[in-house]
Amino acid sequence: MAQVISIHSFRGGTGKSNLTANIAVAVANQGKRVAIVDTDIQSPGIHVLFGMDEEKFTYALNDYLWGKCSLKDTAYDVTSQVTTASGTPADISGAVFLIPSSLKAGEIARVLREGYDVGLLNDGFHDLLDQLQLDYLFIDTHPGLNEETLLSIAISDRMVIILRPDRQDFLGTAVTLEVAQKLDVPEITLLVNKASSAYPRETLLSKVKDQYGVPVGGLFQENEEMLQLASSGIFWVHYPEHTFSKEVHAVAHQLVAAE
Amino acid sequence: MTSQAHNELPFFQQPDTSSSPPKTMTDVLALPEIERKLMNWLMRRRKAAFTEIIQHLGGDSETAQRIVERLFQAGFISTSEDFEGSKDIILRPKIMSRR
Repeated sequence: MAQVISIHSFRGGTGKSNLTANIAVAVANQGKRVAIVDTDIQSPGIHVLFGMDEEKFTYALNDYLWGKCSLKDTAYDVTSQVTTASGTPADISGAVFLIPSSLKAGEIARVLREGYDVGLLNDGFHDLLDQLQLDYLFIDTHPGLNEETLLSIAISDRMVIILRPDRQDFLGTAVTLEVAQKLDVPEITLLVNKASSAYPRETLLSKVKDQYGVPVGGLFQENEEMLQLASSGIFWVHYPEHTFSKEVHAVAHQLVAAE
Repeated sequence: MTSQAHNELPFFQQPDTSSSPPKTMTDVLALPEIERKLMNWLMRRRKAAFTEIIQHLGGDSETAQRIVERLFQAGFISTSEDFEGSKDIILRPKIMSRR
């Protein structure tokens, strides 16, 4: 059965969109059909990782919310746009679709001002699962807890929370977890990102697990190559042998194994 | 368990919520536990027949009716538009992303 997975972080700058894109493409590389929905309506950006720009969108998520099109009309097959370091298309065995949010200021303001019918978005997600025969729908959310993120938590089968090994992130993650538990999220996974290589991996993993009592699915260290790539592609496709890439695949395998 | 026709239920009449703000997820979080849990379950299912709700809540139809009626009157749920012709009431969450 298809799964809806929402990806959250309490604070900005955790690398949430980057990890979402990397994990989603790694899941697709296991022969799965995945879609990523950019529900970060206030500050959309995940499309950049797939080399898309606003001019290439006929429709965005916002258009669906205003009844201008079906959600399927806003889904772009970006499988062939996932490229290797040499610029050739990566050989992804499944399929990756992207549902971008609009970058037009007026469209962003309208959603924030008027809101939308949550049922419409929820119905749209499930229609999309059927119409595109998806195995996974990843929801990339705005950082922090607001009405939109609460919604995506509420409709998810699994929630992935990304945090940095930072005191503010630790406190905020506790709040997010408390809310997720109140919303009865069936499965919760924590991912630690941007960890310093100065911390022993096992110590940090065990500290996070003990702190929250929730499984830690992976730990990603800061690295120079990520800074150099500067969101211009999917990291693991560019650096397949990198430790970061191996961790991405390990998380993707966990998600598929948990089906 | 027999399914109940929608006109047998007291909460079928749509409450007048025109003057009250729409419900959001923050309002769901503030609900008492049993109502919140029912809303969580409904949000993931998107809709449920009243008989399914009774079953989900343990089979006591009076308790289920009381909980559903409270949520319905407060504007958290509505009858689905596609209930016409159905033998059972279909209920859906009625949540907006903003007030």
